[in-house]
Amino acid sequence: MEARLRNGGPWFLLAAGALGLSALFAVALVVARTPLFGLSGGTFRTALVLHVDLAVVVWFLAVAAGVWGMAAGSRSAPALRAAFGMAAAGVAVMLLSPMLMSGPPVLANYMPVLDSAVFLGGLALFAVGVVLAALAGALALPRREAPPWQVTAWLAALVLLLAAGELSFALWRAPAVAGGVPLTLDDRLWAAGHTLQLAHVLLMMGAWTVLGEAALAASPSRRWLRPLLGAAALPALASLWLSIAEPVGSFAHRQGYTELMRWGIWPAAALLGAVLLAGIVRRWRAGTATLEEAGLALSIMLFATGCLVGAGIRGESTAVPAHYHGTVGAVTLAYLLWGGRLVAATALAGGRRRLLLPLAYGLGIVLLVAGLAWWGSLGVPRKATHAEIALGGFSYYAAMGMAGGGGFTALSAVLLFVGDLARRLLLRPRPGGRADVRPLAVALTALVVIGGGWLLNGVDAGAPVTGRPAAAHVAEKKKAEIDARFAQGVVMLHSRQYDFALAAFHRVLELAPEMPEAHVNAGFALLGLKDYGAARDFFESASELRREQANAYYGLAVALEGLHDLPGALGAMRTYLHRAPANDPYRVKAESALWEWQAQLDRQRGGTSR
Amino acid sequence: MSVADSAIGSRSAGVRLLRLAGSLKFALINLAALFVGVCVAYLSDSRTVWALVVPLASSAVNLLAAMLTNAVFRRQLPLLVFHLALLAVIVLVALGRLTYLKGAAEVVDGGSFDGVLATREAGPFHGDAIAALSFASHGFTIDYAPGIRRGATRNEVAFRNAAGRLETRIIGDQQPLVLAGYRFYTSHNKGFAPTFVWHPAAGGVPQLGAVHLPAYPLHEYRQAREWVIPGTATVVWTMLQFQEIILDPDKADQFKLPGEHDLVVRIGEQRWQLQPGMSVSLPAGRLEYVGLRGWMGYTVFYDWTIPWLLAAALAAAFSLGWHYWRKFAARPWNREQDDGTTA
Amino acid sequence: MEQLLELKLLWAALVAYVLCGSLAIVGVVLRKRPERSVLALLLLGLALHTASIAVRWDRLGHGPFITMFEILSSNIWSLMLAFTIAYWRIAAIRASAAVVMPILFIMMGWLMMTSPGEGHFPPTYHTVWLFIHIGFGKVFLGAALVAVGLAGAILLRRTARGAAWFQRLPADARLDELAYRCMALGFIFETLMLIAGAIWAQDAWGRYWAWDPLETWAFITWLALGISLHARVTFRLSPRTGALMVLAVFAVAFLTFFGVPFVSTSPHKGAV
Repeated sequence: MEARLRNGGPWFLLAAGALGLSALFAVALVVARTPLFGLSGGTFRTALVLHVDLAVVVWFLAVAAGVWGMAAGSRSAPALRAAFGMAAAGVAVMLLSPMLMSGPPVLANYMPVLDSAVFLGGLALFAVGVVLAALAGALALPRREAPPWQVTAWLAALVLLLAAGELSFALWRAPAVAGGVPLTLDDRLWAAGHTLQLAHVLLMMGAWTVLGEAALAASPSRRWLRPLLGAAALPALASLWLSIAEPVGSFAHRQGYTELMRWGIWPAAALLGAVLLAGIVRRWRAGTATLEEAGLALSIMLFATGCLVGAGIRGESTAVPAHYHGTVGAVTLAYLLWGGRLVAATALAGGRRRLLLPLAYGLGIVLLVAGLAWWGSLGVPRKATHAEIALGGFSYYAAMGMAGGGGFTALSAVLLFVGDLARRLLLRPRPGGRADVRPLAVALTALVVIGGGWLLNGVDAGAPVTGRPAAAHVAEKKKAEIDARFAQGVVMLHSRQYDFALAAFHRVLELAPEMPEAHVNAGFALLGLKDYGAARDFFESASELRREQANAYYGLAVALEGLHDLPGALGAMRTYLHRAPANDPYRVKAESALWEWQAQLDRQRGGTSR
Repeated sequence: MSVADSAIGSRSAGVRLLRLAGSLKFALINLAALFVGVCVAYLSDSRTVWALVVPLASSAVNLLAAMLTNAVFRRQLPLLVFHLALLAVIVLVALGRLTYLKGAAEVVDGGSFDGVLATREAGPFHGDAIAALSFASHGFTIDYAPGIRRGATRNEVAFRNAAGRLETRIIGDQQPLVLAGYRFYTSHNKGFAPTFVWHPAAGGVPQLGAVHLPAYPLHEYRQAREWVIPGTATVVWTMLQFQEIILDPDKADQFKLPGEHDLVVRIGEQRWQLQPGMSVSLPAGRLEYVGLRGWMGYTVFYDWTIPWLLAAALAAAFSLGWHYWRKFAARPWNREQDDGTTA
Repeated sequence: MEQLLELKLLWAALVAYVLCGSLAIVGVVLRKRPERSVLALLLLGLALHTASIAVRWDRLGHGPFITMFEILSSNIWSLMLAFTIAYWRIAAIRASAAVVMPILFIMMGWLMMTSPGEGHFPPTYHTVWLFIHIGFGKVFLGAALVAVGLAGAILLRRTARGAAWFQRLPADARLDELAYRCMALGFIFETLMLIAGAIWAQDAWGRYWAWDPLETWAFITWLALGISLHARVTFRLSPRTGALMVLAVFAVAFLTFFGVPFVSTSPHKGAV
């Protein structure tokens, strides 16, 4: 046991750390939604990316790697150490990346990323480490009498390698365009993202068999278990076939994996869960059930709830986060309980806390899922702020309270669990006396200063306010403002600040929509910005408002030339010359433009001139 | 003495030095030196003064040495976190002083800031990211309470936000415009800017420019400035004259541009009195007076360490609170104690 | 006239305070224990004083933060509040009211000499940080005041008469320990006050620290307090030395809050 733990231990610690950090980012997300500490959109989405990736990528896969480490023999130890080093380095790079190189958050399904070389490099490094661990796990063929978790571990390793293959193919070999539409990151991650979920479910089932040993022992026969576990991995074959048969990004590809998720991933787990639940109920009636088994039952029910909510998803309502928080929560709870068991065997044992905190987490997630699902049934949309949702009433707020309370409980439980683990680890008593707090103090201070500073850096200075100051509502003030803005726009046109000029003239038009001069000047600003189509519209409006607005025709001519409509341009310029006063300084330019365009037109028509 | 002995001897001397450097008495000496340094900084003109830097650096050394040698820090987590946070504050302040920027700029209504500062004071390692920044001012209003006491300033500005879209915002007083970490605050410096268009005789592009007269009402009786027409050597002296009372001390008022006014322009021996629309013909070209606008002065501030400094300072305050809470809750103050130590 | 109501309420409050303080001093000198009455008068005074401040706030549209009159009044209010809480919760130290109240008498006398006129509320004061910064400062000063009462008792006990007056108070070492705890609490709140002040200053004046007189003196107070706390853990100090340090720190703090803003002409007073 000790030897196994030595292989898997570092991975489990990495996983726990990632889980704790993910919880901290979740707290940041919640804080960001309160009006007092509104974070800028960029910081919010970065925190979101890190929360998701640290949870479903690092936490899940690090636990998986730890399990493979436990299953693998001592011969794999050096390779596993190297793999761990890469994975840990990758996670560190990912965490530091927002401060080293800013990258816009890309919120792809299953694996959102920050689009910066540093972040993606860290993620890739982590992935390589995990794949190496999976190799070690795949090479550790389970013997006949091996416990079920080793069977699922082996199957999961194979599935992960399949996912890695699908991902590599999608990233480097798939054509860039499918059906006339360029492939998005979401398209490329689609196959691997779905296949990965199968690996997580398999490992969760393995955790269930460990936690439910006694419950299984009570069942009449267990010869069905291994075939069931094997059957659980069958959807991987379907995935393999899909990735070969259908091109990435095609409708069939997307639909195929969605259907695989809908029908293939859960049946075996559901069956196993049902048998385990029956066993637990039997033990409970007999009075021999343990707290740990209560946790197992909670995990099973969370998984079932998550799947059921998933079946009920109609559109992009909050039923979607309800679904995945349910299934993710089930896996996390199973891992936390299993981890607690492993920790109990070491010097880091934590007493009842190792059971109570995961249970609290599970209950919190149940409330969160229930609240989000309730909202979903009310039709509340995803990713909308509080102010944007027009609903109110008891159900809305009750559901919000439920989701909020549940989330708070779950986060607190996770933070306490991980914090306790960290404390025990860093405060291990030294030989000859008490623990040395210095490493923990340094870690804590660094976390608070760097993390707190990053969050504070993202606080938005103030909401943009457009429109006039509240005091100016009188008509004469309006005229004064029109004059002032118009004059400013002219200044900006002169100094070639075309976009500021456009903004100024837009404001004038808001206040005086029928002013031809404002239309004309807006048109000139757009000409400066080379937006010929929009410019043409403004010049046309100006000339409609006032037929004698000579410079509108001048501008229109330039715009039409920009749109390659030479006959139109010629016509407009002639109109300008017809209407413009004799001493207009632009007559000369107009006449030379006419001459040049006519020559161009003649050339286009094959040289036949009048 | 053998080599091993002398090695041990030197090592223990090193340890002794470290212990001394980390001692409480040295901490007290540093605090007292800092006290003196603060007084010196207060009385002197420059901000970063050796009298401050030396005790702060020495305190940093003291903290590090204490962390390595002091037995109390090995056992008391919150106390150590407090001192580490203080160390972080010292380091961040130092970094901030190396990279900060303070400056001022003036922007006319309808004009834009184009990356050039009128005054600039910066740390040695400050880059020139400000050259790439720009925003436009759409004019401002300033309320005044009776007695010419300045109230709220509202200045509408336009800029490109992080997503590249044009955005307008009202800033003023405590609401700065923050672009790439640079904070632009409206200031009490503002005034009138007669605007001219210069038409060069050689037929070049007409240039529009605004002359920023001295701040109003600070320099109420000195609304004049001497300036040079760009591209020429012609020196122009311009003065604004008006009868209107801009800020009435007897009532609540607002800063506004004078309506009826005269613009006196003097070039060499000649003198003109211009109204908007009038021009002055010179050999080099025609100077046309277009009208009066306002200009707003901005103070600019940049210091990237501020959020981290705040986090560190708050960490210090809360960890100290945690330390004292634990310490004082452990023993009631009114109970007899046997040894009297209060570490 | 509303100003008349506000002044009447203030007068009534001050009368209550003076009665209360006199009662406390007399009680200590004559070795009686009029604690119930003292507490009742404290609460009465506070209630009247709160009403006076509220009336003025309502009339002017802003809180007591500008003129010397307003600052003295609001500080007397918060110091009284802090001491009342200590008086109520820590019965053992009630006799120290005989030390604390005279200090407040001096402040009240000063208050009576200042003009109750109105000041201009600067635009930089329209922020929540005003309340946060000043709130933290008030907690700091309140804690320091309680400590001063204890320190005064320790020092007065050196005389035979003083020892007789304060015989009901716990031993010097205990008083010193409580004073230390009060100063420690004050230190934390002064730290928070400086932080809140820097946050306010950043957007009010465009920089978070510029060594202007009030900032500098506040930091000097912080350093003095830090030195005194550090000295306590570096040396074994007698209660008398500890008491002297408490008084010294309070003197610096008093100078900072009541001297500097009205001696200097820099923007910290409220910009034009």
